[in-house]
Amino acid sequence: MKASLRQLRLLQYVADPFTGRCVSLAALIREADGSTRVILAPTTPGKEELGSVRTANLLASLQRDIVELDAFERLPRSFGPQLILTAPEPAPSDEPADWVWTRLGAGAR
Amino acid sequence: MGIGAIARVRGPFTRAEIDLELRGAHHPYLVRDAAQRWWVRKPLPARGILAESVGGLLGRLLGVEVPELAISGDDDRCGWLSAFVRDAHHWDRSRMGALANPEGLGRMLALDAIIHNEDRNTENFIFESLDEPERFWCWAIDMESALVGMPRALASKGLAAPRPHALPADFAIVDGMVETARAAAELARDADDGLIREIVDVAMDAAGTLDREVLSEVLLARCRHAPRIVEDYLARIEAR
Repeated sequence: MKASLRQLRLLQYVADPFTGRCVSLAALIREADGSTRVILAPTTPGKEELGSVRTANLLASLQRDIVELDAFERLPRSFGPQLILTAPEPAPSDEPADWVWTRLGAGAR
Repeated sequence: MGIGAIARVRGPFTRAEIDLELRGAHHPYLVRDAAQRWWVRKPLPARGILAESVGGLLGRLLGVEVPELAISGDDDRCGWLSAFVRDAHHWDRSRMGALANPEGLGRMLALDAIIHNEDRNTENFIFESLDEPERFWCWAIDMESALVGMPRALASKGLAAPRPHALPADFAIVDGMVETARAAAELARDADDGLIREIVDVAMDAAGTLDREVLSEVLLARCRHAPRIVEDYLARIEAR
């Protein structure tokens, strides 16, 4: 992988702030030209993984807002406190689909 | 009907490993009590506890959905506790039509008008996800800045309505909101004197503040004139 000016942040849902359990929902990638793109996780977590039908409903309802995210720095104020962004990190310049999906799959803590 | 008390929750409290971004002037943070309940804890000054207490108790009376409130009893300095609403997001105009309790918004405006709360910003609305997809329950939180926490300052305002400058920019009065705000105002107007005084007593005991008689008189006056104050507030919102 080649280094680049591209940066990555994971969008996560904090399922349990006391144990630190998070579920990764998407990746935000800031390109060298400053634009931001969103790559959704390959699968949407269901109520079994999330532990609650309400959580699953919330995330399903936010899906459209997540797809439309265009800011890398912070999430819209409407998203609520249980959605967070990980710290920015350098990202490879390769086509992101594959490695991002790997990261998203491993993103749960 | 009595107004009830404000519970005191004993510690120990466990602070969350992940500090969720809970906005507020007094740096709120998430804790879990010994019974595994999640709370937003705010180290408020007395005036903040007084404002939250009156807002919560009067809100109950008017049918405003306010999360369970309590005071932490694990140290000398009181902390304010508000039940953490899980699976929620903040104000979003596009989801107003999905609210299962839209009447709550009108009541919330009436409460804000009476307690002179000028801090109903985006984060102070909570839309809680429900079991049914795309359905939400609206809660009112964070009334610590309301002028009711400073009785003499509130008295100096007379019967003036608050300014709606902190309301979300896309907030608008929609069908049904005016009617429910007016109904809540009438409920406040018709409330028994003893009930209003009880709210003040319970809140003053929780906050440990003075000026009990000043607050009783000013809150009684604002409740008696609630229809006018609420009408003025609605007009100010419309005029933004």
